Amino acid sequence: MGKSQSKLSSEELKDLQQRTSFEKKELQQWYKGFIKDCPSGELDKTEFQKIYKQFFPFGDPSTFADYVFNVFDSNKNGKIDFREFIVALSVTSRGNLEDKLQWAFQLYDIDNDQSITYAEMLSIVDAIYKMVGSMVKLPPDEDTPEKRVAKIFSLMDKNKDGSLTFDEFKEGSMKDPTIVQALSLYDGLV
Amino acid sequence: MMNSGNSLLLRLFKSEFFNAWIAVSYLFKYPDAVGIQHYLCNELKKFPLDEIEFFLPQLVHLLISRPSESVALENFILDRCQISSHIAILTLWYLQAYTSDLAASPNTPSFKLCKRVFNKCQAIVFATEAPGEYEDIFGKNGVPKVKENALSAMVGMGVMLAAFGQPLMTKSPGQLALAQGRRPRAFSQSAGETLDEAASENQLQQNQVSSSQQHQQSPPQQHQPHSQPGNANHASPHGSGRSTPAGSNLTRQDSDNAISPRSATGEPGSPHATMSGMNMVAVQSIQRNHVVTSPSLEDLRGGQAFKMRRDRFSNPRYSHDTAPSSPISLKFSDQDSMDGRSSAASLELARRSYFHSEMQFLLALVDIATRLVIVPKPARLSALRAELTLLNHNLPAEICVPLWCHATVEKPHHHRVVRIPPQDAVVLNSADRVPYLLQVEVLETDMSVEEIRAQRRDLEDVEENAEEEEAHTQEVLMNEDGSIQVEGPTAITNGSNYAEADNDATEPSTSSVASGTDDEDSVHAQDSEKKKTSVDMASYPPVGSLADLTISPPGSPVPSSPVITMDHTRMKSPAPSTSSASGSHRPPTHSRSNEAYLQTVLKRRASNSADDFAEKMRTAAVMLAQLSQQQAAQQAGAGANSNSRSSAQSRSSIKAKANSVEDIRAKIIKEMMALEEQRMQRMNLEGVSSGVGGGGGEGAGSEMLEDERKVMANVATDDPSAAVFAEGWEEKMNRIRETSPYGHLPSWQLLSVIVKQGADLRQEQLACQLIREMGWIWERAKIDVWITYMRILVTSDNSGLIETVRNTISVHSIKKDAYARRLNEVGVVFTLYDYFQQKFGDPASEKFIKAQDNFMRSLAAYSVITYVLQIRDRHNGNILLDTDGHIVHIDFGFMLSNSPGSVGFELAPFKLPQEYIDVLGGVNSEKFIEFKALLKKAFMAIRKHTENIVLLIDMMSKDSKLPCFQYGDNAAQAVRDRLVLNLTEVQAEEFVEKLIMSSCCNVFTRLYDTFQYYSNGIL
Repeated sequence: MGKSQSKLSSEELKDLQQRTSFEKKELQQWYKGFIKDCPSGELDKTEFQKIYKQFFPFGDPSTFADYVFNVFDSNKNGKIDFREFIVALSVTSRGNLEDKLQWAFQLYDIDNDQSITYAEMLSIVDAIYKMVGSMVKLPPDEDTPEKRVAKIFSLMDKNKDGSLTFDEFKEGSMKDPTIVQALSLYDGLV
Repeated sequence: MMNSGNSLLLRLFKSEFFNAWIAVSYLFKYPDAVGIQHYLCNELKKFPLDEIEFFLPQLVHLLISRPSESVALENFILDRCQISSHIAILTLWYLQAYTSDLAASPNTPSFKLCKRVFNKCQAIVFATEAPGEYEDIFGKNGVPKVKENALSAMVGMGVMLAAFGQPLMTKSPGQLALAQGRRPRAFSQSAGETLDEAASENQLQQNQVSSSQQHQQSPPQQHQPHSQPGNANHASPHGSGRSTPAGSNLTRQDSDNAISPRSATGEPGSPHATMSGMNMVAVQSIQRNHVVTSPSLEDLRGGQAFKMRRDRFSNPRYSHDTAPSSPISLKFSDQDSMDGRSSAASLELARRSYFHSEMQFLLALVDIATRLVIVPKPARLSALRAELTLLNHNLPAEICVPLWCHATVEKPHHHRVVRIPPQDAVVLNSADRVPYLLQVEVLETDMSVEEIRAQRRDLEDVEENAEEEEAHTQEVLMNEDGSIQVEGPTAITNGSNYAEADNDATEPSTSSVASGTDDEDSVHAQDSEKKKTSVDMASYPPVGSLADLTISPPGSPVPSSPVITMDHTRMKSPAPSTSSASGSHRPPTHSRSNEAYLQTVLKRRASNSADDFAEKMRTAAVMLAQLSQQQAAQQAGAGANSNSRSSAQSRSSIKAKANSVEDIRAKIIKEMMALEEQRMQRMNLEGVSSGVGGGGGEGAGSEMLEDERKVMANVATDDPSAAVFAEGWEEKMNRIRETSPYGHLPSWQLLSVIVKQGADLRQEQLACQLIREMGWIWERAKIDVWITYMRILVTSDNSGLIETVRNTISVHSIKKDAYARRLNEVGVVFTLYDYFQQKFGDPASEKFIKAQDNFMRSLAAYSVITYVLQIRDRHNGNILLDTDGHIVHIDFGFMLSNSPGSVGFELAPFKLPQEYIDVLGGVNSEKFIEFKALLKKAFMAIRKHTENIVLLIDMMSKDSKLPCFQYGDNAAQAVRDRLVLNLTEVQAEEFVEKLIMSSCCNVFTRLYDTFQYYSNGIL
């Protein structure tokens, strides 16, 4: 994708049309928006953290932002470019629930070994709690990252092996309407 | 660092000290911090609306003057508009004022933002779609889609990822990401996007078609938005088929121009005077959607001007019987009083018509002031009363006066304006404007207009019988060639040809506006108008054949486009535009000499009723207005011609026209004077009760002077005590109540306001807001000082309503009156102390002591106020005294950084002349010592809460157009400096002592009063 240009070339368009569920015009519009927001055409970790700080002023979102960054940065070159962005947007706004869960699983599976360990889950949940800070009042059985992770594993770790496979992750998510709802944030709105 | 700082901030926000003030101040401090803005705006929603209303001027100013990444404030204000009709209307007017402020720089982000929010606010007020908003932007369940905001999308997606870890934490950040995601992008089609953006959108599409054409990095907003001024006059791409009041009002805008002296040339004294030239175009493009205008003569005459026009919205099931007593209350409460037949849709319609009527009513008041400017001074009072008499025909109406109306979200009981007693209105002449004082009778009731009418008490009053009279109206139109054209009401009982009639009707007025302005524009305007008119006609077929359909005559600035007025209740009474009116009385249209027409217009009827008089007077005033507008247009045209063609012939013809115009003007004025003569004679016969109505009882401002002088003239001849000290407020209210057909109703109330046109009241409003804030500080600190403040309703950047201060008279008038009555005792100085003795008796009497105490407590407060805010121009015309002895300061045209002209010798910290000290009993008296102590306490309290005051000023100062911010670098800092925050408490008290001593009989104070006396005759 390289350096920024004012619009996508026809080859790029064709490619992205295949990889996403966006039409040509939508791709061009989003590209314009992307370039306006990051004129260099790429976003590095620091810039990414900055955005999160704008949205989460009362907590520390830097750790969580880094984890999210790694999910976006699919070619692991340390930058998020338009292609990576739009592919993620396609999944999150127009993909089905399974697609979304597959995509989300990557976040929690930090070492990418197809299973989420207790430690991995704790790292992520801890980062989430730090990001949001004391903005949200939580029920007593979830008011610390440890409690929350313990709850997750007690509900979802069917075989009690201390780690979650994708199937366990998926089944557990589908059972929880608040998770399903949160995953539908962009449905029909992009 | 930043995070730890912000978590402290959150602790403050969550503390018990958190209040609306803190929320607003941090909104101001962190304009670009998206998350903080959203958090605070969410918190602000928890505060009562009256607190929000208090901060509204600041919030709107912050929104417009600092366009930021965050959409929180914009969303918050619009959200409050949804909830409160008062906030919606106030916001709309503020935004309108900002629109004119910013019209000179239509390419700034502020202007674009203002335009967008204005459109959205209008959409809320009139319950229509925002312009440019179409199906496409809504996703499922009517939730607006997001735009191409990559950054917020990345946050939103991150939030989704967090769902598994802690779904409870994702809800509000998710909504935040969505809200920010909806932020309009300059290059995308979206809600509220304006024409220039639509234009750049077109360009964008062109680019896409020819993708080989490389536009190197040119940001889309650089595409010439207003490449053609004519652009704005084209119907918006989505507007032509729109069946809302939006388009329809627009079609009347030009005809309104024909009637009020308001023109594209930016004539002074017209509501839109500040917009000129091409900016006018930009502004029009904003206002095109819902131009609410003041009602036409026809409408006023017919009593339908503020009527709910629900008929237009053709909902057959929605009859008068089920009319909501208050559309607002129904909309916002869950009460089920609509007997189940109403649909949400009809509520919406009722609501939009309610807003419409309300704005129309207030604009009608303002327009009267505009028209009075052209009326010769001696005839102004009669002209005013004539106008108001006509206005009265349209009352009662389901409209309230915001700020005065006590309705809240919890108790949505809006009052109803039922009557304006014309005889109690007073003209307050000033140099070049004609503000006027009027009383407005309201009922604090939920009764419908029909119910109110039913309870009306019949009184022997000519003016009230107007409705029973046979009504016929003529509309006077000035053609381009200077001929006057009189049109009878175009009454059409057969609905088949109304569309055509309306088109015909629109033309003459449009063209009269067009003369001298950009011809192409007007052609476009006409075209789109016609199109719109016919579309509207098609989409609103008349409902039922029993209704009387009327098309308003040409030139009537009726906002509700095709003006198919259908009214069930008035079927029996001879409504002005039924077929009866089109009978024998209807004058021929063309082909008579000017003079003959004039005679027809002014003397057509022999009958001598007040109503008749009113109509004649009003007609004459309208003609004058048209004349002067036409003249202005001609002059502009002449200028243009001399540039392009410089044809001698055209110039001479213009000159000839000008002469004939002058002739006509002279005739009209002569007629008006004759009418006034008649009225005076009648008044003498009928008794003076209807003569000088106002005058005393209320302090109004420096504009009062002129009128007071007139009153004084009466004083000399008639009973001196009568006029100036005539009536206290209670007396006046009781008198009006007795003579009002609605006075017997228990919820009857009287408001007293001054209508101003040609003055930006925003500075007055700021001053009153600051005084109010100081009052609260003293109240909380339990410091027993006394102040009062006026409500000020800003309706544009140069018009509005000011509340009068009851039972007051200016110190100037007190003295003037004293001299008038003691003409024989030349050379004796009459002081305030003399007045106190005269009014309250012996200085040792209880009455005097009470008044003296009142004087002292108010003087202490106003001394601090005038010092802290540097309120200048403190001559005795701007200082009032109430019947209890309280002093009140008014007129805040000079404060903070500006002072009157080059006359900079108001150097005393505040006004404390010898006569004030005498009232207090001299410098060594106990009362004076008490005064000093109280003033100190009051000062120290304000000092302790400096930031409360400073925030309000600081928030308003950036890019402000108000005169009080035009000089000096930092008005807010100067306030801090005056409050000597660097001193210790003890030092500060010493400082105040010095202030008092240097104010004492300050030589500069005396100089200023002397100056005022010699230059302006102010005592």
